[in-house]
Amino acid sequence: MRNVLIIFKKQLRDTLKNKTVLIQFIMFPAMTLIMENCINVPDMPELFFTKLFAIMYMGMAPLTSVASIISEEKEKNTLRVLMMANVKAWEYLAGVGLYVWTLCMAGAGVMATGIPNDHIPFFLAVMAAGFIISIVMGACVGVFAPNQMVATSLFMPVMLVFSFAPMLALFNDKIEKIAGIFYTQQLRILLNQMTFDGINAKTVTVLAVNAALALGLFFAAFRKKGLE
Amino acid sequence: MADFALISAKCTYENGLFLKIICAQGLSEAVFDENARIKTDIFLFSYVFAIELLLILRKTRKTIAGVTRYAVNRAGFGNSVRANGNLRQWLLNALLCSVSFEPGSLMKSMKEFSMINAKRVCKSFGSREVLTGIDLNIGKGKIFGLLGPSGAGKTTLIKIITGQLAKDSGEVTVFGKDVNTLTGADKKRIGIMMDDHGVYDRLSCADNLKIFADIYGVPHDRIDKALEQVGLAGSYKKPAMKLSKGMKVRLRLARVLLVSPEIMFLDEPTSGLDPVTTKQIHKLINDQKDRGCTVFLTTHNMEEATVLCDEVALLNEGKIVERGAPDQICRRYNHKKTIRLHLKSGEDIELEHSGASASALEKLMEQGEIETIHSSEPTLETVFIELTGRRLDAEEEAQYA
Ligand SMILES: Nc1ncnc2c1ncn2[C@@H]1O[C@H](COP(=O)(O)OP(=O)(O)OP(=O)(O)O)[C@@H](O)[C@H]1O
Ligand SMILES: [Mg+2]
Repeated sequence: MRNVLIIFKKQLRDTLKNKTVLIQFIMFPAMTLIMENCINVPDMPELFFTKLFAIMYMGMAPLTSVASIISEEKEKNTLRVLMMANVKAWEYLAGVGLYVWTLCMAGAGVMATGIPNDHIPFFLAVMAAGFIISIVMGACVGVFAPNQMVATSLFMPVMLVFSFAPMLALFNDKIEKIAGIFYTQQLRILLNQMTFDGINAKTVTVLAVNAALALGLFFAAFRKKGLE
Repeated sequence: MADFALISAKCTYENGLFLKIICAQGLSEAVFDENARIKTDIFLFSYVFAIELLLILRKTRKTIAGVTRYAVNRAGFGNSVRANGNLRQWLLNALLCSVSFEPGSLMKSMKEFSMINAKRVCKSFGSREVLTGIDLNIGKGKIFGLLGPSGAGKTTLIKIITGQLAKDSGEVTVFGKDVNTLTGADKKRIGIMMDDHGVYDRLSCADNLKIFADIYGVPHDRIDKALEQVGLAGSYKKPAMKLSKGMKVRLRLARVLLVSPEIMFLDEPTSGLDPVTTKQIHKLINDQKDRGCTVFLTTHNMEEATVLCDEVALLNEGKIVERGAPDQICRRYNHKKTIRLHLKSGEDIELEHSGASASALEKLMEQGEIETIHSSEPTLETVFIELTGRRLDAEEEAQYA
């Protein structure tokens, strides 16, 4: 447990210096603030940008940052040094996951500034769940990819599908149908309703299946590759 | 040899019985050599325990002799010659200790014998045999150098000994324990620096060390000390990516020194560094040795091995082809004594280092033909070439491509 915190602290120290990861965390919350405050189209749905960007943030930031952090450590062989210092694989993964989740939640907190107060817990709960699934997917990529190059080429398509499908679904019925099987789309539908009452059997099933698939893939990748 | 005579004389005086046993088993020819590689075995450990127990219980010499006779028989002198030699030396050593020292000293000497022990270690990658039966024994406080051309399997052997890589067969013990059973506390006593191990580029030197200080539970003031030890005190806040290559190596060394390890594994600690940095690193390694640290390092550099190592092993094509103290090895191969001359005409000639060459040499000298003159003692380099028929720094890649 101590090692989880050490990894967490290490990542925190690295944050300000690691621009590629930092941008992931800042871009969407910043854009949300700007768009919500500057753009005012007459019959635009309420909190349109917040909801849109929240889902993109959820699909993008955790996935890409977890994958690049893990793959960078593999590429530079720093992960091996940690392992040799008797840091367990789960401690390392938990540390990185916790770190990314915390920063993402902070970003979500920034996004939530425009939301009415009584809806904020709901919003954060939805985001928290989405981040967790994305983090596991990012870990799949990170464990599977031997270096950053491979990681990027792997997470790009995954990230695009999860974060853009819900947006494209706005404009195209067919895409909307297909997108329904992704956790991001389900969480988007949920966000639109802004209440826990919106949760139905389909939401739960899709989320559960997505999460199970992500975990299954993760353990498969981990068994095959470990953290080598 | 002299030491042996001395101790054996003492033994004879103290207890003729032991020497009788030794002689009876043909142990008398064994040479008492401080560099003797001594085989340790569960069996031998039990023997030591038995002797210890008997000494503590103040049993008669007769009982001890009985146990020893049993041990000598069980040790199986019918095995290979090398094993015989080692076992004999070990038993001799053990016997001498047991008669001439206090109870307890035997176990202590046993412990100091072997920090790292490998037996018949084999490893293949696919069909390519990289290590074929490696035996090693490294004593406490020694600097051991594993030499060999690129691709000989040096890194592979370090990885196996440190438990990063599974061996196909054989046994490896560190601190007398199987590597795979080392606990977290044991691992804290081992410092490993592999040639490809990285540092956190964006973090400062101090932050890099802080992570590991936290993991090992070392107080943070050790960080300053470690950075100072490697001469990086001035780069405390510098991001690691702004360090030069030599500084990065030193930072990685600082990371190893953080825990004041009892064993250090250094994979090519000086490869690609300039002579000054190399010297600094040699000094660091020697400082660690003075502290009682056992060092296992690999290198391609024969000169480095000669000045730095107490003992070296030459690894070639998966086998250890020669081992011993560097000067000892060189002396062993000093059979072809020659003098090399470089003449003013630009010609290089080699003369036998004997009286027969005197007149030729005199003539050349009188004529003032000689530009330089060297007697050629074997170096580790020439020994290696003689043993393997190839140069150590020769490009090996082509052969394996
Ligand atoms: N993981 C691996 N899979 C397949 N072959 C390997 C692997 N690791 C090492 N080898 C092979 O084993 C041989 C020994 O490699 P090793 O890295 O131990 O050599 P080395 O003595 O450390 O060389 P160098 O001095 O260049 O570091 C090489 O031929 C290498 O190709
Ligand atoms: Mg190597």
